[in-house]
Amino acid sequence: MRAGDLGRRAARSSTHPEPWSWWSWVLTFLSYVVLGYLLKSVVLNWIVGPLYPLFVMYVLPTTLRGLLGGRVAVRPLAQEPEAPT
Amino acid sequence: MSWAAHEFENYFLQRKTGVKASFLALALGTAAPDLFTKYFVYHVAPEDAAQFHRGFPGVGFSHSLMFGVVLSLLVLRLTRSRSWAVGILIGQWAHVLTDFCDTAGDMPFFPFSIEPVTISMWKHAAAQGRYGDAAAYYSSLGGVWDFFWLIATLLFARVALTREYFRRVVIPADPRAWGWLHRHLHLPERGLLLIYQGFFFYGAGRMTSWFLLARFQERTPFQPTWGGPDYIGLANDLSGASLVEVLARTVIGGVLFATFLALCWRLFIRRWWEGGNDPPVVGEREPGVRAVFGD
Repeated sequence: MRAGDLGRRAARSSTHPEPWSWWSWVLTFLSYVVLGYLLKSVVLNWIVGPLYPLFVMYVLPTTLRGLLGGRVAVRPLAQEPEAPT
Repeated sequence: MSWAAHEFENYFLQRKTGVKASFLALALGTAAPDLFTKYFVYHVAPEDAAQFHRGFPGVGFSHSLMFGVVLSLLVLRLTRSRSWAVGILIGQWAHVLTDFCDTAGDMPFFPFSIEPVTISMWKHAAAQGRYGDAAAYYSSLGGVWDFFWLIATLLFARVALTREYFRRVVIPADPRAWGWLHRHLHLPERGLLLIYQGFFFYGAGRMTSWFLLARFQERTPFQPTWGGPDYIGLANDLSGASLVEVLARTVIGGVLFATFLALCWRLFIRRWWEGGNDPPVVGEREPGVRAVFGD
């Protein structure tokens, strides 16, 4: 194996995949724009705005999963599994 | 004033400063000048909004470099965190420098110069109220300015939006604050990552929403010309001084400001800085998870 391949491999092994797919971002973005258009300053402000992805992509699904009978799977950060290398 | 550009700047600044500045402090610093003033601009003094927002007398001091220095020194004294002090300072200064563009401008060297500095790219329209202000901004070159920052961030600071960067730089720059959020809000790393990426999301989202609101609800004409939009009659230029006068007063103010800072550095800031702490993992570049728990 050449040195260049080793370097590329090392670079790959140090990266962690993004936890959210592009389409979940697109859906969240579209819902934010629609809500922003309809509700204006209720949504388009410094508090709701930056926290909106956290609420829609993490808190809401986790809570719903909990309410629908599953366990609320909020693992401590230290026990979060490492991304596949 | 700039709108979404202030959110996009954060990722540029984080990319440049690396582990030296806390991202949360940068975000707070870029928001600080308007955080303290915008409500009052729209609700207390709407009839003379530009003067109140950027001038003196008024709350224009919040848009000065000195305000950033005072805030960051306060943070350094209270928290001893250098990355927070640097983040607040750079973030607030970036806000001041990008607010040169509208017709009201700002007073960078207050209190040594109260001459507003502006390049009058678009009209300061806070007197129109919040919705009218947003519609005017996204009908002018201001909207183009925001779009420029969005594209520039995606082109040149895209790496700062990744999980890898978050783990390797953002958390190690500020393990205490991220660790606090993790412990008290019971958020795993992907939840913290959403908070981090949320500022970019907010910038892009509000830029799009306000642009659509301007076009389809407020129905204001899109006039991205220098000094526009034309339908806002008043230019809101706070100074009647000539270019030479503005330059002279600003240069004098700048020299006095730099001298004052140098003096304060010798008198007490250096002592405060040396008594401050770097994030515990600076230099080791540990991954985010270890940084939060400090092992």
